[in-house]
Amino acid sequence: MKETMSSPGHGHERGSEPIALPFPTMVASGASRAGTILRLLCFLTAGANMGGNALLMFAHEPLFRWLGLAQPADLYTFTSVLGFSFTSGVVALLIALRPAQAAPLLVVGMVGKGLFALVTMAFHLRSPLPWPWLAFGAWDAAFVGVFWLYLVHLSRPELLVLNRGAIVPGGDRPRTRKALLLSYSLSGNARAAVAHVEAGLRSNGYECTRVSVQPVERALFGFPFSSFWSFGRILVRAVLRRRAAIEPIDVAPDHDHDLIVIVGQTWMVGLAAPVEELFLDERTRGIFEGRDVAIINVSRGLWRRSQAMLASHVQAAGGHLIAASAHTNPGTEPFRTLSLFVFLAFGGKVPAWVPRWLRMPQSLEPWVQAQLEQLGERLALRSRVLLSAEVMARLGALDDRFARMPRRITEDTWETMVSPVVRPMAARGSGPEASA
Amino acid sequence: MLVLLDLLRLPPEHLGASILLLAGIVISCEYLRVSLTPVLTRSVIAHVLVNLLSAVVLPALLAVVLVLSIAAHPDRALINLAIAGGLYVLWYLAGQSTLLVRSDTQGADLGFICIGSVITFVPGVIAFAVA
Repeated sequence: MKETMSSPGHGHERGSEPIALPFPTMVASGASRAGTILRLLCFLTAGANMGGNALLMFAHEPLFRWLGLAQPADLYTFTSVLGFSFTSGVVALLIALRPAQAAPLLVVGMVGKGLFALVTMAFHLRSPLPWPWLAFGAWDAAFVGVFWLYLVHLSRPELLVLNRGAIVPGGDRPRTRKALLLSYSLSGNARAAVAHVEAGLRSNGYECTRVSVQPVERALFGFPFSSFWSFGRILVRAVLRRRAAIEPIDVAPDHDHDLIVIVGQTWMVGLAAPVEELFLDERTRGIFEGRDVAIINVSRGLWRRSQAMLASHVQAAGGHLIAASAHTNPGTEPFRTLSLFVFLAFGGKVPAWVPRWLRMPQSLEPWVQAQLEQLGERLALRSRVLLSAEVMARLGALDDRFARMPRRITEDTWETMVSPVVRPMAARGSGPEASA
Repeated sequence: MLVLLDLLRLPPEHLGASILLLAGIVISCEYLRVSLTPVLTRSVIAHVLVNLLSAVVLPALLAVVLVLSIAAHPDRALINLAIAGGLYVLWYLAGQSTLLVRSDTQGADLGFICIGSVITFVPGVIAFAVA
C-alpha cells in the first residue's frame, strides 16, 4: 500500500532547495470538503471511543445503574473489551492527526471495528444483548465504511489532481519542442486519440514522432479476431497479466524528445499488455527516463486501474508524470458494455439488424476528440510552474482582455500585476517558459 | 461462524440479521474493489481480485444465497429474489457513494453489475422454478 501515498516525484527548485508540490499534502490533509468531513469524523470516533471507554472504565457501576442495565458479570472480560475499543479510538486519533501517512492505520482501524461489529452481532444472535452494546456495534460497523471511504479518498492523490485537468511541472531537461507519441491500437480508438493530441501539439509548434507499438504475436492481437478462441485467450491473459512481447521500436534511450505522450487502453480492468510491455522490456524502458510524460487512457468505461498502472510504470521508469487524461466510449450502461462485446464479436462491423441499443459506437465522440486536441495544445505550452486547468483558463481570459486594452494601460497593468512575481522567478531561473 | 453461515440461508426468524450481514459483505466487496483499483498495480493477485470483484464474487455469492434460501424456504422464493434484487441496488449505491469522497473513482460499474446479475438470477430463477 506504500505506493498510495507516493508523490509523483517532481518539484521545482528554489535555488538548491527543492519545493514539494502541494497536491499530495493538499489532498491528504483534507483540503477538500470530503477530506475535511472524513477527518472530522475520525476525530469524532476518536473522542467517542477514548472518552466513552474511559468513562465506562471508571464509572460503569453508577452509569449502568442509572441506565437500568445489569452490571458486567465478568469484570476482566468487560475491561478487555473496553481496552480494545479504547485502542481503536487511539488509532482513529492518529489517523486524524496525520492523514497523509494514515493508509496502514486505516486498514487496522477497519479490521478492528469490523471484528467488533461482527462479534457483537454473533453474540446478539445467541442471546440478545442490551441496547448500548448494539449501539456500539452499529457505530463501529458505520465507521468501517467511513474509514474505507477515507482510504479511497487518500489513494494516489497525484492522479486526482491530474484527472482534474492540471498539467504539473516536469523535469529540468532543455525543451527541444519535439514530442514522441506512443500507442498501440487494436480497433483504432487509441490511434484516433493520439492523432488528435498530435494535431494540438503541432498547432503550437511541436514536432511530433508517432510510434505504433506492434505485438510479436500479430495473429493473436489482430483485429478482427481470427476466432473466438483468440478473444478468449486475450481476455484470460489480460486477467492474469501475461506479458505480450513487442517488436523493437526505433527510439534510442538518448532520444531528443522532451515530451512523451503515451496512450493506453483498458483490457479486463487493467492496462493493455502491448502498452505495458514498453515499460517491462529492457530495450524500451529507458526511453522514459527524465522525460515529461503525459498519459492518456481510452476505454469502454473503466479506466481507473489502467491509468494507475500506466502512471506507476511512468514513475518507476524515471519519467516525470505531468498530465493524465481518460476517456470513455459514448453510451449508457449496461448497453455500452453489451455493445462492446457485440462490436468485438462482429469484428467492428456490426450488421444493421442488430438492435440499436446493442450498436453503440465504440469510438471517441467529437467533443472528446476536441478535448484531446486541446490537451495537445496545452502540453505544448506547458509551464515549469504548477498551473491548474482553471488557472490556464483564467490566464487565457486575462490575456484576451489585455489584448483588447489600449497599449499603455496594458503595460501598466502588466507591470503592476505580474512583474513582482515574474522578476524574482526569472532571477532564480525557474520562471515559466514562454514556449509558444 | 456457523451462526453467520446459517444467516446465508435467509432464515425468516433472523431475516434482519441476514440482510445486515449480506449488505455488509456487498458494501465491503465494492469498497475493496474501488480501493484496490488504483494501488498494487504490479500485483497479479490484486489484479485478479479486482477482476473477480468487478463481476464474479458478489454475483456468485448471491447465487449461492438464492439457491440455498429457496431450497430451505420454497414458500419465500419471491421474497428472497426481491432481497437479492435489493442487494444489487445496494451494490450500485455503494459504488456510487465513493464518488462523494473522490471524484475520479468512477463509482459503480453498471455494465459489469448487469453481467453479474445473470450469474445470480439464472440459478435463482431455476431454483424458484424447481421449488
